[in-house]
Amino acid sequence: MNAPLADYGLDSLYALAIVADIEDYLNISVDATIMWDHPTVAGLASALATQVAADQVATE
Amino acid sequence: MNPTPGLRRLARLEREFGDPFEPDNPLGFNRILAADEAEAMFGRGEQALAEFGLNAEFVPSRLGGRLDRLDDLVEIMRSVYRRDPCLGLGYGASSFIAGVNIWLAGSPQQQRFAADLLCSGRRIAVAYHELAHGNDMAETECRAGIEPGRITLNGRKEVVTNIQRSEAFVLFARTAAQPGARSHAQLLIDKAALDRSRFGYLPRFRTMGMRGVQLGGIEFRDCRVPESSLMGRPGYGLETALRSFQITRTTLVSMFCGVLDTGLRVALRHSTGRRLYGGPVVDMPHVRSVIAGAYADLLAADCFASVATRALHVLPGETAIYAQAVKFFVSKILIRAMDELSEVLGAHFYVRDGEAAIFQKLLRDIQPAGFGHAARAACQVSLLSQLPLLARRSWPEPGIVPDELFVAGMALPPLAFGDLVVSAAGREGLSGALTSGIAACRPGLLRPDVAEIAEHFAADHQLLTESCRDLDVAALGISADPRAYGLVTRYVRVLVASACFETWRRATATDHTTFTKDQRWLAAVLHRLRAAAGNRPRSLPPELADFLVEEAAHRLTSRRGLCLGLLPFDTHRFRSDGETPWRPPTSTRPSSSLGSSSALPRT
Repeated sequence: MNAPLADYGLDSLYALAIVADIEDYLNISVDATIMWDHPTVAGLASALATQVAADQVATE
Repeated sequence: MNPTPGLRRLARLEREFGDPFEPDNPLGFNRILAADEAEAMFGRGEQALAEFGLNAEFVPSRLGGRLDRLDDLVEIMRSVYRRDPCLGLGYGASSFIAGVNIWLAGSPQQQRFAADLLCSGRRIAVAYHELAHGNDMAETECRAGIEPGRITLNGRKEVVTNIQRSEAFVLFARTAAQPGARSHAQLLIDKAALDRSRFGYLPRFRTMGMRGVQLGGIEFRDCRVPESSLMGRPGYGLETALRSFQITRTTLVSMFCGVLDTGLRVALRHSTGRRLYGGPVVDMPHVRSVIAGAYADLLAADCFASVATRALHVLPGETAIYAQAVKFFVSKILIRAMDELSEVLGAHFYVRDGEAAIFQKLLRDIQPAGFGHAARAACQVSLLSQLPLLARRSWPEPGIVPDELFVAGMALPPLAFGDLVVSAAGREGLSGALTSGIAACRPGLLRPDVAEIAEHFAADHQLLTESCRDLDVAALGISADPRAYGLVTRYVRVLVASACFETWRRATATDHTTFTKDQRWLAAVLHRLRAAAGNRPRSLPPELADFLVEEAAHRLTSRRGLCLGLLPFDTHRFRSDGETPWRPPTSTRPSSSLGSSSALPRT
């Protein structure tokens, strides 16, 4: 969970491409570089949770 | 349409350098070749570029330079590259790469410093490369240790143009140990501020082509630089690089079109002046076909790169895609066209003396188009992981793209460095524009071959949409199945077909006769693209081959460039309305204008 995703062979350009899958799956809009800023599974999950919560507040 | 100030400067540069084929021209090929034999930069040429103020072309006009339009910059640089690519890269382009990083991420003070250096004719090197890591920039080892009040450099940079004779350089360095994309920064370093005992230069790297270019290296040993050297926030270096490279990847490879321009001239002059088997070599159908094919390839490269260059002004949110596609496509087609032209020259492409000697130099000098700055394969794989996104988000929609992309000389929005984004996030309108472009043509307008081939690529775009939509992005990284790479090749062909088709279609709206409006160049380009897509001959139908050979010969005698750009080299013919008078070549029969040796300069 706290290992850098780069250790799994996730290079920086590829990380940009995955972001769209995340957007489509969660139906939210996130920064293209979110996985650069949060390069571990735990960090990414927490950043996405914050984003989803913020979007919910915004739409309420 | 008025000639832009940039095109007026191009005319001045052409006038000052004169006809490079002229044997006694002190700035011509004979002198350029002598410098190449000595593995030296062409000194007289550097002096002439300094007098012209070439480095000011890289500086935005708001900072006192001359850079307003990237397409003008490319035209000016093609004029340098068509003479001596070493001058293009070794005098100019490396400062341009450094500059773009600074205009994008530098502080106002750093931008002022860099603008003043370049406008006074001095150089800024760009120290990104480390031999051990190639295009894998995230692995950069050269370190910038940041502590309060000071930065300490350690490590080395290798194969860096002009590192030793520049006044300053942009350094790409590691600022944090952890892997990933937030561990780097650029620094702008004034060499005057460095402690000479804390760094050293590496020996020059010798090369097969671009022999005069001074490729060196630098090694730092606890070398202190001021905190103010840092450009932007630490950690954002890779992002800055990927954004600024969209400008430089697109434009630098486009400059190499000037090399094929000269290659075509050499082949035409040679095959016109030489008689074999009872007639001029240029009358042999196969020779005509090779020359015409290379010319069609030049037009495809020029057109696609020019559209992508204007996109940097018009659609900066999409150029993360186009820049990679241009680098991937244009480098290969230019290099291959030069290879094919070498067959027309026979042994003369191999000979280092005589009328055709510049060809062997250009054949070597063009090679870095395929790997310099970024390798073709790296661009290809970076597009690969974008395919599912593009197929879901953009390709099913009709592409709507503004006229400014396709019409040379139209007013462009100012270049906004800040609008370049690290990822296009699957948004791109050019490929889909082909389908809407075909639909917008009135019945009967398209030649049958143009219609058939354009439909083929529009249909392939649909097939690509279906086959890429559900691709597993996890299988499209560096370890992707090599067979998947072919999807990128097919996609890029659709982009090129669309760029050329739409450029031609926009030209049909003009009243006067222009080359760009003539459907035959488009037909020739599409034939070549279609052949590359499989199961078609690469040689053009004789009607199209004759058209292009006659056109190239006409431009040679009237001293005009071979690309779609409008400017004649001979500035006396440069009319104030910016358009060169053009009429279609009158004959399509071989040897009509080429058979008599008086039609062309003697070779």
